[in-house]
Amino acid sequence: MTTEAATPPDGREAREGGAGSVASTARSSAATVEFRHVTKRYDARAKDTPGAVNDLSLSVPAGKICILVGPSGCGKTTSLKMVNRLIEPTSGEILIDGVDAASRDVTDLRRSIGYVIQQVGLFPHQTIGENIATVPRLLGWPAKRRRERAEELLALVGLDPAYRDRFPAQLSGGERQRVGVARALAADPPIMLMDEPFGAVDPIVRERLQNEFLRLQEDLAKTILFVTHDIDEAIKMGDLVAVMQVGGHLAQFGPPDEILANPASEFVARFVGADRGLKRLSLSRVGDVSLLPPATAKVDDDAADARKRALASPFAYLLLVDAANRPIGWIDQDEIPTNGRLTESMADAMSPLLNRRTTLKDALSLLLDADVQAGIVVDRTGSVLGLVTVDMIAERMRETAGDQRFSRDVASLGALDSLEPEVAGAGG
Amino acid sequence: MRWDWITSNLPQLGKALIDHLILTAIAVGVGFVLSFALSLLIYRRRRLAGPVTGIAGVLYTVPSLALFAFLVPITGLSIVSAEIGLVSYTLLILIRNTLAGLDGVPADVREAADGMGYGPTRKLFAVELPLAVPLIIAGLRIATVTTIGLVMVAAVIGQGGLGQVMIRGFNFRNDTAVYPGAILIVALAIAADLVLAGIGRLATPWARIRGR
Repeated sequence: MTTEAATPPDGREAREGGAGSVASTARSSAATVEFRHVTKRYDARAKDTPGAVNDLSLSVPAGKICILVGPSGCGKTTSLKMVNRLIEPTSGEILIDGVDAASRDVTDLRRSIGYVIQQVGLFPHQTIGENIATVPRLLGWPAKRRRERAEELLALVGLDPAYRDRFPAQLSGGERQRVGVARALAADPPIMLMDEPFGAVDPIVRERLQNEFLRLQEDLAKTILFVTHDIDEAIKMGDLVAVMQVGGHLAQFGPPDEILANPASEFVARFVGADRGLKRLSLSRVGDVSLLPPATAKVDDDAADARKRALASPFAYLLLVDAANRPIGWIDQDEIPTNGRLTESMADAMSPLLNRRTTLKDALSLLLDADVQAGIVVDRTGSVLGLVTVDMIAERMRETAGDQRFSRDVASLGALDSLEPEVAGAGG
Repeated sequence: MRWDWITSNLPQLGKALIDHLILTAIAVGVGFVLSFALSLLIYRRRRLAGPVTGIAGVLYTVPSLALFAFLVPITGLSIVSAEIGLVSYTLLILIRNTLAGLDGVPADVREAADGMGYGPTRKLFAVELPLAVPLIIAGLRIATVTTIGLVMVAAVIGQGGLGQVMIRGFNFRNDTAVYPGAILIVALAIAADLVLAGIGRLATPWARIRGR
C-alpha cells in the first residue's frame, strides 16, 4: 500500500509525461514483481514432487513480459499462482512494487491482478459484456461505467461490440480467448498472470493471438508473467525468459537471445533445442547485421568500366539497377561485354528482396528457397541498401554455437522423456 | 360411466385437486428448503456427504405405506404425518441433484472466479449456484412428479387429495369415481412437470444455446 503514495493519481498522464525514461518509471500502470527465495513443498520429505518450487528468486521489471517456461511439473504454474495467492508459498516472499503479497488482503490482491488461463474459464451463464466487467463489478463500479468499459475492451481485443450480449457458448475458441484477455484487463491491473493463455487454440489462431497480444502490450506495457511449455512461444513473447526444471529450480533467467546464445547448463541447452542457432536467427533482423555493398551499375553505364568494378568486388556478380537505384537483376561478371554499354536485357537472375525488418530466419529461408547466395536489402522506396549472404547468416549462427560446452551433447541426445511436449491442460 | 355423478360431485373433485396440489407444494417446498441447506452444508464439508445422503437414502427406501404406518402412532392421521412422509421422499432426489449441479461447475470457471477475487460466498451465489440451476430444476421436476403420485398413497391416512376420491370409488365399487381422480392426477403431474421445465428454461437462457 505504501507505494501507492508514490504513484501519480492518473496513470495516463504520468505515462505521457515520463515518455522516454526507463519503463519502470514511465509506466505507472505497471508494477515490479520480485520473487525472493520462494519455496513451495507439497511433501515435506520429497523435494522434487511435481509442481514444487525450490528457492526461486527473480525480479521482473515493470512493463516487461517474463515467460516461465519448462517441462511438465517444473513448478512454473505453481510459481505463477503464488503471485495471486491461489497457492501460498511454503517460505519466501513475493513482492509487488516492494510490498509482500502475503501482507495484502487476498481478494483485494486478486482483483488488482489480471488472470488469464488456458481454458479461459468464462462464466457460461453471463453475457460476454458481463464476463468482461467481472472485476469492475466486484469493485463496485456503476453499471454505466462497466458497460462502457466492456465495449472499450471488446474493441481493444478486436471483437465486434455486438458480442456484448452473446453468451460464451456462441463464440469460437479464439474469440473466447480474446474475451479472456479483455476480462483480465477490465480493471486496468498493473500485473497480468497468464497461464498458457494461447495453449488451447489451433496453431494459426495462436500465432494471430500472440501477435495481437504483443501489439496490445506495446501500448499497455503491463508487467506480465506468462507460463508456457513451448520454448518457441517463450522466445517470441518474452522480454525475459525464466527456464525452470523439474524440482522447481530456476535453470536460467535472462533475455531470450542470451538464453539461446549461452545456455547456462546442459538442461537449458537441451530444452531450447539443438536448433537454438536457428531459433536465435528469428530474434535478429536484417537491419542488425552490417550489409555487404554490392558492385552496382546502371543501365547505359560503360561496360568496360562496370566489368572492372565487378572484378574488384569480392562478389562475382554485378547488380544492375535503374535510375532510382532499384534492383533489376544480376549480371555474371564473365558475361559483361568488354566494350559498349550495359542494357537491361543482360540481367537475368534476380535475388529475393528483403527489408531491414525481415528476420534472419526468414531471410535464410528465402535465400535457400530461391537457391541463391545473396539477398538484396532494399529500403521503403525499393532502393538498394546492400546484400545479405547465406555466409553472413551462417556466421551469425556460428556466434551462437561458439559456446561449444553443450552443443556436442545436444547433437548426440536422443528423445528426452522429460522434454516431451505437455498434454494440453497439464499444469506446470 | 355416470356423467351425472361427475357433474354433481364437481365441487368435491375441485377441492380434492386443490388439496392434492397443496400437499404436493408443501412437500416439495419444505423438501427443497431442507435439501438446499443440506446440500450447501455438504458442499462446504465433504465428510458430511456420506452420513446425510445415507440417511436420505434410508428414508427413500422405506416403503411409503410402511412409513405412514410408523408415523400414525406418533403424529396421528394428520397432515403432519402425510408431509413428514412426503418430504422425506424428496430429500434424496433434491440433495443428489443439487450436489451434482454444484460439482458440475467446470474447474476452469471456478479457478477464474477465485483468481479474479470472488470470495467463497459470492462465488457460490453468483457463479456456482446459477450454473447448478439446470440440475436443480431437473431434481425439482422428478421430486414434484414423484410426490404427486405419493400423495395418493397418503389417502390411507386420510390425507390423499385426489387419492381419497379414488379410494372411495374403489370402496363403493363406483368406477365413475375412480377415473376422474386418476385422470386428474396424471394431468396434474404432466402440467406440473411442464411448468417447472418452463421455469427452468426462462431461468437459464444461456443453457439453451448449443455450444459450437
